[in-house]
Amino acid sequence: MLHAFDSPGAKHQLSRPNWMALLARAPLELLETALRPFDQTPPRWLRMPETGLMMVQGRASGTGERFNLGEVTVTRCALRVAGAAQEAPVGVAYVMGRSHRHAQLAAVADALLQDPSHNAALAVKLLQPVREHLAHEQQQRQQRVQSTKVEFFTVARESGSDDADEENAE
Amino acid sequence: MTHDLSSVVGGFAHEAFGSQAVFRSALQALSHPGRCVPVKQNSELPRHGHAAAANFLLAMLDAECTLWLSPSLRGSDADMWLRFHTGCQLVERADQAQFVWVGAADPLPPLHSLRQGSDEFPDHSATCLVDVRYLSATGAPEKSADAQVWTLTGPGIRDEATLSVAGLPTDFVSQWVNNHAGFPRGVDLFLATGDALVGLPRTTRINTLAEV
Repeated sequence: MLHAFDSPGAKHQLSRPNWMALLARAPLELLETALRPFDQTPPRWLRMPETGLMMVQGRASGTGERFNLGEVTVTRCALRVAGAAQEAPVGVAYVMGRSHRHAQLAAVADALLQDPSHNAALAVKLLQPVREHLAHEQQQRQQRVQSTKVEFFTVARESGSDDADEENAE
Repeated sequence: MTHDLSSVVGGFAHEAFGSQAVFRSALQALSHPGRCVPVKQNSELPRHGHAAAANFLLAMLDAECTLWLSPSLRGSDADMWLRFHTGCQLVERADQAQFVWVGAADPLPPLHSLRQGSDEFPDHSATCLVDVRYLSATGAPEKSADAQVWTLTGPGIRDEATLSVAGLPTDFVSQWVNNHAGFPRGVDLFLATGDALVGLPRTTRINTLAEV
């Protein structure tokens, strides 16, 4: 699932759930830089950033029974970009953690991405770097984990030979 | 259920102060039946429905409340606005709702069909908001066919209060007599215009003036 959100995919146009997932995990610096031109005046709030808890559910091995994994802190907000029309698209963000600023910028980006005149430019300026950043992060994590890899094959063979020794001793 | 936010406007500018100010107005209105209590505008508003009623519901509703909207309000921007900001649950039938909001263009559902509460729990009754065209506590009637002039008596009123109202069904007073007779059960009502609320708790008696 994680993979599906990060890869650009066959379609050129990203769907809204995809970019919202990207924005929610984007580092704050990238959002700040890309959205600076749209962040000069405060947005028109529909819902100010507010922090709360959400229950995360998981399935054992991705297919088993659903169970409550635990609660995570989530900050959400909804807004219209400053200077936009009365019925302009509403930007919504649900972001893990308690950064109000992150939620605000993610919502601004969501609102702009729904606007065809900004969509293409912002996809290049913001979403692409975010995607690269996340891919890079994941690669680093994989490398870190790689060093702790255990060769279960070897362990199994050793334990097998132990058994043989015990049998011989008897 | 649509999730199209394009028509939704903002709620209270300051959530706590805004809703407390409206709560205060509603308390005043129920404590002094028949008095026109101004409701301060401190939120953006949907295009449908009267402002005082919209503000009242925005302040009162939460995710556990059930709300019934009359046909002209259901599906309008007021519907979406209330659901977005309060998370309230819309119900299909008026008799299931804790709050009932009747738009100015819609017929009032019969009061006895709404939730009446029980003798043990009279507070489980419905609170009904009715958008009306005209309200005046001075008793000066609006010159129109459906204008009514009432004198009110009951708890919260020293001697009697006068109220003229336009936009209610002609049999409203007889419905109200039955609502009052069912005490402690019965519904509480708010009449709403653009900027004011009038409270009519179930304890209030309405007498119509002979000639209007």
